[in-house]
Amino acid sequence: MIHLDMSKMADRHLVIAYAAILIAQFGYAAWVAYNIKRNRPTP
Amino acid sequence: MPRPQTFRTLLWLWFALSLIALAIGLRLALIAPIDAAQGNIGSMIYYHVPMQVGGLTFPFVNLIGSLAYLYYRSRNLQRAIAFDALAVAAAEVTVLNLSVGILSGMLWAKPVWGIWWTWDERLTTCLLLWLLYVSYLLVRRFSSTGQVYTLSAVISVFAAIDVPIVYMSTRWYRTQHPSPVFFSGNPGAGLDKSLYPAFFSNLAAWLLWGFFLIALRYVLERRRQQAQHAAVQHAIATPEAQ
Amino acid sequence: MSYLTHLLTHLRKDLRLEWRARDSINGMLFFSLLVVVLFSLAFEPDAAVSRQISGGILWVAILFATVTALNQAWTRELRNDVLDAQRLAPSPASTLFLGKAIANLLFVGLVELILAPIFVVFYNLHVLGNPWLLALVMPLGTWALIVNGTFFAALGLRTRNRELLLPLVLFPISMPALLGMVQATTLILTGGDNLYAVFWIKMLTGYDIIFTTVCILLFETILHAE
Repeated sequence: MIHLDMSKMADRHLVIAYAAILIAQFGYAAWVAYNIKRNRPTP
Repeated sequence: MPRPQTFRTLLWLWFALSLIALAIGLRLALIAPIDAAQGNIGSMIYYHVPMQVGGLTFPFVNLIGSLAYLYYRSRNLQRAIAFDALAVAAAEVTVLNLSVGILSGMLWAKPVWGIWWTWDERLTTCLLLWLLYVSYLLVRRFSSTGQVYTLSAVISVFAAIDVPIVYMSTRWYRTQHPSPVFFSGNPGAGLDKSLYPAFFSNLAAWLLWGFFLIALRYVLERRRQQAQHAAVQHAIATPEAQ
Repeated sequence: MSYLTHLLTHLRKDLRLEWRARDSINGMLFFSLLVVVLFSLAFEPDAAVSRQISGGILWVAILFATVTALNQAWTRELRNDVLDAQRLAPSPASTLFLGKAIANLLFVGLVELILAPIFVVFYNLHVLGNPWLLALVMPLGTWALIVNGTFFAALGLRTRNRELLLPLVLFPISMPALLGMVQATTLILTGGDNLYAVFWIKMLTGYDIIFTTVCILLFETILHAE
Protein backbone atom coordinates (compact mmCIF):
# COMPACT_ATOMS: atom_id res chain seq x y z
CA MET A 1 0.00 0.00 0.00
CA ILE A 2 1.30 3.44 -0.85
CA HIS A 3 2.16 5.74 2.04
CA LEU A 4 2.31 9.38 1.14
CA ASP A 5 4.51 11.93 2.85
CA MET A 6 3.24 15.36 1.78
CA SER A 7 6.33 17.15 3.00
CA LYS A 8 8.30 15.53 0.14
CA MET A 9 8.17 17.18 -3.28
CA ALA A 10 8.05 13.81 -4.99
CA ASP A 11 4.89 12.71 -3.20
CA ARG A 12 3.22 16.09 -3.73
CA HIS A 13 4.00 15.84 -7.45
CA LEU A 14 2.56 12.34 -7.59
CA VAL A 15 -0.73 13.48 -6.09
CA ILE A 16 -0.93 16.54 -8.32
CA ALA A 17 -0.24 14.45 -11.42
CA TYR A 18 -2.86 11.81 -10.65
CA ALA A 19 -5.40 14.47 -9.73
CA ALA A 20 -4.69 16.48 -12.87
CA ILE A 21 -5.08 13.42 -15.09
CA LEU A 22 -8.34 12.34 -13.50
CA ILE A 23 -9.82 15.84 -13.45
CA ALA A 24 -8.82 16.56 -17.04
CA GLN A 25 -10.14 13.29 -18.42
CA PHE A 26 -13.44 13.26 -16.53
CA GLY A 27 -13.86 16.98 -16.92
CA TYR A 28 -13.54 16.65 -20.67
CA ALA A 29 -16.02 13.77 -20.72
CA ALA A 30 -18.48 15.81 -18.67
CA TRP A 31 -18.09 18.80 -21.00
CA VAL A 32 -18.73 16.64 -24.08
CA ALA A 33 -21.71 14.93 -22.46
CA TYR A 34 -23.18 18.26 -21.42
CA ASN A 35 -22.85 19.59 -24.95
CA ILE A 36 -24.42 16.48 -26.40
CA LYS A 37 -27.46 17.12 -24.24
CA ARG A 38 -27.59 20.73 -25.36
CA ASN A 39 -27.40 19.74 -29.01
CA ARG A 40 -30.51 17.58 -29.00
CA PRO A 41 -31.45 17.07 -32.66
CA THR A 42 -34.75 18.81 -33.40
CA PRO A 43 -37.46 16.35 -34.52
CA MET B 1 -23.51 2.39 -39.06
CA PRO B 2 -25.64 0.65 -36.37
CA ARG B 3 -28.98 2.23 -35.57
CA PRO B 4 -28.80 5.13 -33.06
CA GLN B 5 -30.43 3.19 -30.24
CA THR B 6 -27.99 0.28 -30.50
CA PHE B 7 -25.12 2.72 -30.68
CA ARG B 8 -26.28 4.52 -27.56
CA THR B 9 -26.53 1.28 -25.59
CA LEU B 10 -23.10 0.26 -26.81
CA LEU B 11 -21.69 3.59 -25.71
CA TRP B 12 -23.15 3.30 -22.20
CA LEU B 13 -21.77 -0.22 -21.95
CA TRP B 14 -18.36 0.98 -23.07
CA PHE B 15 -18.48 3.80 -20.53
CA ALA B 16 -19.32 1.37 -17.69
CA LEU B 17 -16.60 -1.03 -18.80
CA SER B 18 -14.02 1.76 -18.91
CA LEU B 19 -14.98 2.98 -15.44
CA ILE B 20 -14.66 -0.51 -14.00
CA ALA B 21 -11.31 -1.01 -15.71
CA LEU B 22 -10.08 2.38 -14.42
CA ALA B 23 -11.21 1.56 -10.88
CA ILE B 24 -9.40 -1.77 -10.97
CA GLY B 25 -6.34 -0.07 -12.41
CA LEU B 26 -6.31 2.61 -9.71
CA ARG B 27 -6.60 0.05 -6.94
CA LEU B 28 -3.77 -2.03 -8.40
CA ALA B 29 -1.66 1.08 -8.75
CA LEU B 30 -2.17 1.99 -5.10
CA ILE B 31 -1.31 -1.46 -3.73
CA ALA B 32 1.60 -2.15 -6.08
CA PRO B 33 5.02 -2.64 -4.48
CA ILE B 34 6.97 0.59 -4.25
CA ASP B 35 10.14 0.99 -6.31
CA ALA B 36 13.16 0.85 -3.99
CA ALA B 37 15.23 3.42 -5.88
CA GLN B 38 12.61 6.02 -6.75
CA GLY B 39 10.18 5.71 -3.88
CA ASN B 40 6.52 6.64 -4.23
CA ILE B 41 7.06 8.72 -7.34
CA GLY B 42 7.77 5.54 -9.30
CA SER B 43 4.02 4.92 -9.27
CA MET B 44 3.76 7.80 -11.70
CA ILE B 45 4.27 5.38 -14.57
CA TYR B 46 0.86 3.78 -14.07
CA TYR B 47 -0.82 7.00 -15.11
CA HIS B 48 1.86 8.85 -17.05
CA VAL B 49 2.69 6.13 -19.59
CA PRO B 50 -0.94 5.36 -20.61
CA MET B 51 -1.42 9.09 -21.29
CA GLN B 52 1.63 9.18 -23.55
CA VAL B 53 0.71 5.92 -25.27
CA GLY B 54 -2.74 7.38 -25.95
CA GLY B 55 -1.17 10.59 -27.17
CA LEU B 56 0.88 8.61 -29.66
CA THR B 57 -1.93 6.23 -30.73
CA PHE B 58 -4.91 8.52 -31.25
CA PRO B 59 -3.16 10.64 -33.91
CA PHE B 60 -3.45 7.55 -36.12
CA VAL B 61 -7.22 7.69 -35.74
CA ASN B 62 -7.05 11.36 -36.71
CA LEU B 63 -4.92 10.49 -39.75
CA ILE B 64 -7.34 7.77 -40.86
CA GLY B 65 -10.22 10.21 -40.49
CA SER B 66 -8.40 12.93 -42.42
CA LEU B 67 -7.29 10.66 -45.27
CA ALA B 68 -10.77 9.15 -45.53
CA TYR B 69 -12.20 12.66 -45.67
CA LEU B 70 -9.86 13.66 -48.49
CA TYR B 71 -10.72 10.43 -50.34
CA TYR B 72 -14.49 10.64 -49.99
CA ARG B 73 -14.71 14.39 -50.53
CA SER B 74 -15.57 14.10 -54.19
CA ARG B 75 -17.26 10.70 -54.00
CA ASN B 76 -19.62 10.62 -51.02
CA LEU B 77 -19.72 13.93 -49.19
CA GLN B 78 -21.84 12.73 -46.27
CA ARG B 79 -19.44 9.94 -45.49
CA ALA B 80 -16.49 12.30 -45.88
CA ILE B 81 -17.94 14.70 -43.33
CA ALA B 82 -18.56 11.84 -40.89
CA PHE B 83 -14.89 10.89 -41.15
CA ASP B 84 -13.96 14.49 -40.49
CA ALA B 85 -15.97 14.30 -37.27
CA LEU B 86 -13.88 11.28 -36.31
CA ALA B 87 -10.71 13.21 -37.10
CA VAL B 88 -11.55 16.19 -34.89
CA ALA B 89 -12.67 13.90 -32.05
CA ALA B 90 -9.39 12.03 -32.17
CA ALA B 91 -7.44 15.30 -32.34
CA GLU B 92 -9.06 16.70 -29.19
CA VAL B 93 -8.51 13.52 -27.21
CA THR B 94 -4.89 13.47 -28.43
CA VAL B 95 -4.30 17.00 -27.15
CA LEU B 96 -5.97 16.09 -23.85
CA ASN B 97 -3.78 13.02 -23.39
CA LEU B 98 -0.57 14.73 -24.45
CA SER B 99 -1.21 17.75 -22.22
CA VAL B 100 -1.57 15.71 -19.05
CA GLY B 101 1.07 13.28 -20.26
CA ILE B 102 3.70 16.00 -20.66
CA LEU B 103 2.60 17.66 -17.41
CA SER B 104 2.86 14.43 -15.44
CA GLY B 105 6.19 13.69 -17.09
CA MET B 106 7.57 17.03 -15.92
CA LEU B 107 6.20 16.49 -12.43
CA TRP B 108 8.00 13.13 -12.40
CA ALA B 109 11.24 14.46 -13.85
CA LYS B 110 11.81 17.25 -11.32
CA PRO B 111 12.21 15.06 -8.22
CA VAL B 112 13.85 12.17 -10.08
CA TRP B 113 16.18 13.84 -12.58
CA GLY B 114 16.35 17.25 -10.93
CA ILE B 115 15.21 19.01 -14.08
CA TRP B 116 11.79 19.90 -15.47
CA TRP B 117 12.71 19.33 -19.08
CA THR B 118 15.26 17.95 -21.52
CA TRP B 119 15.34 17.71 -25.30
CA ASP B 120 15.61 13.96 -25.70
CA GLU B 121 13.83 12.25 -28.60
CA ARG B 122 10.74 11.19 -26.67
CA LEU B 123 10.01 14.50 -24.97
CA THR B 124 10.78 16.50 -28.09
CA THR B 125 8.49 14.36 -30.22
CA CYS B 126 5.69 14.59 -27.68
CA LEU B 127 5.97 18.36 -27.40
CA LEU B 128 6.01 18.85 -31.15
CA LEU B 129 3.10 16.47 -31.60
CA TRP B 130 1.23 18.54 -29.03
CA LEU B 131 2.06 21.78 -30.90
CA LEU B 132 0.95 20.28 -34.21
CA TYR B 133 -2.41 19.15 -32.88
CA VAL B 134 -3.04 22.38 -31.02
CA SER B 135 -2.47 24.20 -34.29
CA TYR B 136 -4.79 21.68 -35.97
CA LEU B 137 -7.53 22.63 -33.52
CA LEU B 138 -6.80 26.34 -33.86
CA VAL B 139 -6.95 26.20 -37.66
CA ARG B 140 -10.35 24.55 -37.32
CA ARG B 141 -11.55 27.28 -34.99
CA PHE B 142 -10.29 30.11 -37.15
CA SER B 143 -11.29 28.83 -40.58
CA SER B 144 -14.51 29.69 -42.28
CA THR B 145 -16.92 26.79 -42.67
CA GLY B 146 -16.51 24.91 -45.90
CA GLN B 147 -12.76 25.22 -45.78
CA VAL B 148 -12.29 23.76 -42.34
CA TYR B 149 -12.36 20.12 -43.29
CA THR B 150 -9.86 20.32 -46.11
CA LEU B 151 -7.38 22.60 -44.38
CA SER B 152 -7.25 20.58 -41.20
CA ALA B 153 -6.99 17.32 -43.16
CA VAL B 154 -3.91 18.72 -44.87
CA ILE B 155 -2.35 19.60 -41.52
CA SER B 156 -2.98 16.02 -40.38
CA VAL B 157 -1.05 14.71 -43.35
CA PHE B 158 1.84 17.07 -42.63
CA ALA B 159 1.85 16.05 -38.99
CA ALA B 160 1.91 12.37 -39.93
CA ILE B 161 4.95 12.90 -42.16
CA ASP B 162 6.71 15.20 -39.73
CA VAL B 163 6.46 13.27 -36.49
CA PRO B 164 8.61 10.26 -37.50
CA ILE B 165 11.18 12.68 -38.94
CA VAL B 166 11.22 14.64 -35.69
CA TYR B 167 11.73 11.45 -33.69
CA MET B 168 14.55 10.14 -35.86
CA SER B 169 16.40 13.43 -36.20
CA THR B 170 16.31 14.08 -32.46
CA ARG B 171 17.47 10.51 -31.82
CA TRP B 172 20.45 10.94 -34.16
CA TYR B 173 21.21 14.24 -32.49
CA ARG B 174 21.13 12.56 -29.11
CA THR B 175 23.52 9.79 -30.07
CA GLN B 176 26.09 12.53 -30.68
CA HIS B 177 25.08 14.75 -27.77
CA PRO B 178 23.94 12.47 -24.99
CA SER B 179 22.00 14.36 -22.44
CA PRO B 180 24.03 15.20 -19.34
CA VAL B 181 21.25 13.67 -17.25
CA PHE B 182 21.63 10.13 -15.94
CA PHE B 183 19.05 8.26 -17.95
CA SER B 184 18.23 5.16 -15.99
CA GLY B 185 14.92 5.32 -14.24
CA ASN B 186 13.24 6.29 -17.49
CA PRO B 187 9.52 5.88 -17.00
CA GLY B 188 8.57 2.45 -18.20
CA ALA B 189 12.10 1.17 -18.69
CA GLY B 190 12.74 -2.38 -17.54
CA LEU B 191 9.65 -3.01 -15.48
CA ASP B 192 9.80 -5.58 -12.70
CA LYS B 193 7.30 -8.45 -13.12
CA SER B 194 5.54 -7.67 -9.86
CA LEU B 195 4.48 -4.36 -11.35
CA TYR B 196 2.96 -5.86 -14.50
CA PRO B 197 -0.67 -6.11 -13.21
CA ALA B 198 -0.79 -2.47 -12.18
CA PHE B 199 0.97 -1.28 -15.34
CA PHE B 200 -0.93 -3.23 -17.96
CA SER B 201 -4.34 -2.90 -16.33
CA ASN B 202 -3.98 0.90 -16.28
CA LEU B 203 -2.67 0.95 -19.83
CA ALA B 204 -5.63 -1.10 -21.07
CA ALA B 205 -8.11 0.88 -18.98
CA TRP B 206 -6.91 4.30 -20.16
CA LEU B 207 -6.82 3.18 -23.79
CA LEU B 208 -10.35 1.83 -23.46
CA TRP B 209 -11.40 5.12 -21.88
CA GLY B 210 -9.59 7.08 -24.60
CA PHE B 211 -11.43 5.32 -27.40
CA PHE B 212 -14.66 5.84 -25.51
CA LEU B 213 -13.93 9.57 -25.35
CA ILE B 214 -13.28 9.65 -29.08
CA ALA B 215 -16.61 7.91 -29.70
CA LEU B 216 -18.40 10.33 -27.37
CA ARG B 217 -16.85 13.38 -28.98
CA TYR B 218 -17.69 11.92 -32.39
CA VAL B 219 -21.35 11.79 -31.38
CA LEU B 220 -21.21 15.45 -30.35
CA GLU B 221 -19.54 16.49 -33.58
CA ARG B 222 -22.05 14.60 -35.69
CA ARG B 223 -24.90 16.32 -33.86
CA ARG B 224 -23.32 19.71 -34.48
CA GLN B 225 -22.75 18.90 -38.14
CA GLN B 226 -26.33 17.76 -38.57
CA ALA B 227 -27.66 20.83 -36.76
CA GLN B 228 -25.60 23.05 -39.04
CA HIS B 229 -26.77 21.13 -42.11
CA ALA B 230 -30.38 21.50 -40.97
CA ALA B 231 -29.90 25.23 -40.43
CA VAL B 232 -28.54 25.62 -43.94
CA GLN B 233 -31.42 23.63 -45.42
CA HIS B 234 -33.85 25.78 -43.47
CA ALA B 235 -32.25 28.97 -44.68
CA ILE B 236 -32.42 27.83 -48.28
CA ALA B 237 -35.99 26.57 -48.06
CA THR B 238 -37.41 29.59 -46.27
CA PRO B 239 -38.11 32.52 -48.56
CA GLU B 240 -36.18 35.63 -47.57
CA ALA B 241 -38.16 38.19 -45.60
CA GLN B 242 -38.75 41.18 -47.81
CA MET C 1 2.81 26.38 -72.63
CA SER C 2 5.13 24.14 -70.72
CA TYR C 3 5.33 23.76 -66.95
CA LEU C 4 8.59 25.66 -66.86
CA THR C 5 7.12 28.60 -68.78
CA HIS C 6 4.22 28.85 -66.35
CA LEU C 7 6.64 28.65 -63.45
CA LEU C 8 8.85 31.40 -64.82
CA THR C 9 5.84 33.62 -65.47
CA HIS C 10 4.73 33.32 -61.86
CA LEU C 11 8.26 33.87 -60.63
CA ARG C 12 8.73 36.99 -62.74
CA LYS C 13 5.39 38.33 -61.53
CA ASP C 14 6.35 37.99 -57.87
CA LEU C 15 9.81 39.42 -58.37
CA ARG C 16 8.46 42.41 -60.28
CA LEU C 17 5.77 43.15 -57.70
CA GLU C 18 8.26 42.98 -54.87
CA TRP C 19 10.80 45.12 -56.70
CA ARG C 20 8.20 47.83 -57.17
CA ALA C 21 7.07 47.86 -53.55
CA ARG C 22 10.14 46.61 -51.73
CA ASP C 23 8.18 46.51 -48.48
CA SER C 24 8.86 42.85 -47.82
CA ILE C 25 12.64 43.00 -48.15
CA ASN C 26 13.00 46.13 -46.05
CA GLY C 27 10.95 44.61 -43.26
CA MET C 28 12.98 41.41 -43.35
CA LEU C 29 16.30 43.21 -43.31
CA PHE C 30 15.52 45.38 -40.36
CA PHE C 31 14.01 42.56 -38.36
CA SER C 32 16.98 40.23 -38.82
CA LEU C 33 19.41 43.06 -38.22
CA LEU C 34 17.65 43.74 -34.95
CA VAL C 35 17.97 40.13 -33.85
CA VAL C 36 21.65 39.95 -34.77
CA VAL C 37 22.56 43.18 -33.02
CA LEU C 38 20.50 42.49 -29.91
CA PHE C 39 22.08 39.11 -29.31
CA SER C 40 25.54 40.50 -29.89
CA LEU C 41 24.78 43.21 -27.36
CA ALA C 42 23.33 40.78 -24.85
CA PHE C 43 26.09 38.21 -24.91
CA GLU C 44 29.15 40.09 -26.10
CA PRO C 45 30.66 36.78 -27.09
CA ASP C 46 34.36 36.21 -27.55
CA ALA C 47 35.49 34.41 -30.70
CA ALA C 48 35.22 30.87 -29.30
CA VAL C 49 31.78 31.36 -27.75
CA SER C 50 30.65 33.19 -30.88
CA ARG C 51 31.28 30.20 -33.06
CA GLN C 52 29.26 28.01 -30.74
CA ILE C 53 26.21 30.21 -30.60
CA SER C 54 26.18 32.11 -33.87
CA GLY C 55 24.78 29.14 -35.80
CA GLY C 56 21.66 29.20 -33.68
CA ILE C 57 21.36 32.97 -33.71
CA LEU C 58 21.77 33.16 -37.49
CA TRP C 59 18.93 30.73 -38.10
CA VAL C 60 16.68 32.36 -35.53
CA ALA C 61 17.21 35.65 -37.32
CA ILE C 62 16.45 34.05 -40.68
CA LEU C 63 13.40 32.28 -39.29
CA PHE C 64 11.95 35.53 -37.93
CA ALA C 65 12.70 37.30 -41.19
CA THR C 66 11.05 34.52 -43.19
CA VAL C 67 7.90 34.54 -41.08
CA THR C 68 7.68 38.34 -41.40
CA ALA C 69 7.86 38.07 -45.18
CA LEU C 70 5.55 35.08 -45.45
CA ASN C 71 2.79 36.66 -43.42
CA GLN C 72 2.07 39.02 -46.23
CA ALA C 73 3.33 36.91 -49.13
CA TRP C 74 -0.14 35.84 -50.13
CA THR C 75 -2.07 38.97 -49.17
CA ARG C 76 -1.07 40.37 -52.53
CA GLU C 77 -3.25 37.70 -54.07
CA LEU C 78 -6.25 38.67 -51.98
CA ARG C 79 -6.45 42.21 -53.26
CA ASN C 80 -8.67 42.68 -56.29
CA ASP C 81 -9.75 39.03 -56.09
CA VAL C 82 -6.55 37.96 -57.77
CA LEU C 83 -6.73 34.58 -56.06
CA ASP C 84 -9.96 33.70 -57.82
CA ALA C 85 -8.36 34.57 -61.12
CA GLN C 86 -5.42 32.34 -60.23
CA ARG C 87 -7.77 29.46 -59.53
CA LEU C 88 -9.33 29.82 -62.95
CA ALA C 89 -6.02 30.15 -64.77
CA PRO C 90 -5.05 27.19 -66.96
CA SER C 91 -1.59 26.89 -65.43
CA PRO C 92 -1.07 24.06 -62.94
CA ALA C 93 -1.62 25.20 -59.36
CA SER C 94 1.80 24.04 -58.29
CA THR C 95 3.47 26.58 -60.60
CA LEU C 96 1.80 29.37 -58.63
CA PHE C 97 3.12 27.82 -55.43
CA LEU C 98 6.64 27.15 -56.71
CA GLY C 99 6.88 30.54 -58.35
CA LYS C 100 6.07 32.25 -55.08
CA ALA C 101 8.31 29.94 -53.06
CA ILE C 102 11.29 30.51 -55.34
CA ALA C 103 10.68 34.26 -55.27
CA ASN C 104 10.64 34.13 -51.46
CA LEU C 105 13.85 32.10 -51.54
CA LEU C 106 15.50 34.80 -53.61
CA PHE C 107 14.32 37.56 -51.27
CA VAL C 108 15.51 35.78 -48.13
CA GLY C 109 18.71 34.85 -49.96
CA LEU C 110 19.30 38.51 -50.66
CA VAL C 111 18.76 39.30 -46.97
CA GLU C 112 21.23 36.56 -46.04
CA LEU C 113 23.87 37.96 -48.37
CA ILE C 114 23.49 41.39 -46.79
CA LEU C 115 23.45 39.89 -43.31
CA ALA C 116 26.60 37.77 -43.75
CA PRO C 117 29.23 40.52 -43.50
CA ILE C 118 27.33 42.11 -40.60
CA PHE C 119 27.39 38.80 -38.82
CA VAL C 120 31.12 38.38 -39.36
CA VAL C 121 31.71 41.84 -37.94
CA PHE C 122 29.48 41.66 -34.87
CA TYR C 123 30.45 38.13 -33.87
CA ASN C 124 34.12 38.26 -34.84
CA LEU C 125 33.49 35.21 -36.94
CA HIS C 126 36.24 33.20 -38.50
CA VAL C 127 35.08 30.03 -40.21
CA LEU C 128 37.22 27.17 -39.00
CA GLY C 129 35.66 24.51 -41.18
CA ASN C 130 34.97 24.24 -44.88
CA PRO C 131 33.24 27.46 -46.08
CA TRP C 132 31.93 25.73 -49.22
CA LEU C 133 29.87 23.46 -47.04
CA LEU C 134 28.38 26.58 -45.48
CA ALA C 135 27.45 27.79 -48.96
CA LEU C 136 25.57 24.50 -49.31
CA VAL C 137 23.79 24.64 -45.94
CA MET C 138 22.40 28.14 -46.41
CA PRO C 139 20.18 27.54 -49.46
CA LEU C 140 19.15 24.06 -48.29
CA GLY C 141 18.14 25.32 -44.87
CA THR C 142 16.43 28.42 -46.19
CA TRP C 143 14.45 26.38 -48.71
CA ALA C 144 13.24 24.07 -45.93
CA LEU C 145 11.76 27.05 -44.11
CA ILE C 146 10.44 28.74 -47.24
CA VAL C 147 8.71 25.77 -48.86
CA ASN C 148 6.68 24.88 -45.78
CA GLY C 149 6.22 28.52 -44.84
CA THR C 150 4.80 29.47 -48.23
CA PHE C 151 2.49 26.48 -48.11
CA PHE C 152 1.13 27.21 -44.66
CA ALA C 153 0.85 30.91 -45.36
CA ALA C 154 -1.43 29.96 -48.25
CA LEU C 155 -3.29 27.48 -46.06
CA GLY C 156 -4.03 30.10 -43.45
CA LEU C 157 -4.99 32.71 -46.02
CA ARG C 158 -8.68 32.94 -45.20
CA THR C 159 -8.41 32.16 -41.53
CA ARG C 160 -8.65 34.80 -38.86
CA ASN C 161 -5.49 35.18 -36.80
CA ARG C 162 -3.29 33.91 -39.56
CA GLU C 163 -0.24 35.73 -38.18
CA LEU C 164 -0.46 33.54 -35.10
CA LEU C 165 -1.13 30.34 -36.99
CA LEU C 166 1.83 30.52 -39.34
CA PRO C 167 4.62 30.32 -36.72
CA LEU C 168 2.53 27.93 -34.62
CA VAL C 169 2.28 25.38 -37.42
CA LEU C 170 5.65 26.14 -38.99
CA PHE C 171 7.83 25.57 -35.95
CA PRO C 172 6.93 21.92 -35.21
CA ILE C 173 6.95 21.03 -38.90
CA SER C 174 10.35 22.68 -39.43
CA MET C 175 11.93 21.41 -36.24
CA PRO C 176 13.97 18.57 -37.81
CA ALA C 177 15.22 20.94 -40.51
CA LEU C 178 16.08 23.59 -37.91
CA LEU C 179 18.01 21.03 -35.91
CA GLY C 180 19.90 20.02 -39.06
CA MET C 181 20.74 23.51 -40.23
CA VAL C 182 21.81 24.78 -36.82
CA GLN C 183 23.94 21.71 -36.15
CA ALA C 184 25.54 21.80 -39.59
CA THR C 185 26.27 25.53 -39.37
CA THR C 186 27.75 25.24 -35.87
CA LEU C 187 29.90 22.27 -36.87
CA ILE C 188 31.24 24.10 -39.90
CA LEU C 189 31.92 27.30 -37.97
CA THR C 190 33.69 25.53 -35.12
CA GLY C 191 35.63 23.24 -37.47
CA GLY C 192 34.00 20.19 -35.98
CA ASP C 193 33.62 16.73 -37.47
CA ASN C 194 33.14 17.22 -41.23
CA LEU C 195 31.50 13.85 -41.67
CA TYR C 196 28.90 14.72 -39.09
CA ALA C 197 28.21 18.05 -40.76
CA VAL C 198 27.75 16.26 -44.08
CA PHE C 199 25.33 13.87 -42.36
CA TRP C 200 23.16 16.79 -41.29
CA ILE C 201 23.36 18.25 -44.80
CA LYS C 202 22.14 14.95 -46.23
CA MET C 203 19.30 14.91 -43.71
CA LEU C 204 18.40 18.46 -44.70
CA THR C 205 18.39 17.49 -48.38
CA GLY C 206 16.10 14.54 -47.66
CA TYR C 207 13.79 16.81 -45.68
CA ASP C 208 13.71 19.34 -48.53
CA ILE C 209 12.86 16.68 -51.10
CA ILE C 210 10.12 15.11 -48.99
CA PHE C 211 8.38 18.32 -48.07
CA THR C 212 8.73 19.98 -51.46
CA THR C 213 7.00 16.94 -52.97
CA VAL C 214 4.24 16.96 -50.35
CA CYS C 215 3.65 20.70 -50.75
CA ILE C 216 3.46 20.47 -54.54
CA LEU C 217 1.04 17.55 -54.35
CA LEU C 218 -1.23 19.14 -51.78
CA PHE C 219 -1.22 22.74 -52.98
CA GLU C 220 -4.03 22.26 -55.45
CA THR C 221 -6.17 20.80 -52.66
CA ILE C 222 -5.86 23.85 -50.44
CA LEU C 223 -6.13 26.34 -53.29
CA HIS C 224 -9.55 24.96 -54.12
CA ALA C 225 -10.50 24.33 -50.49
CA GLU C 226 -13.72 26.26 -50.66
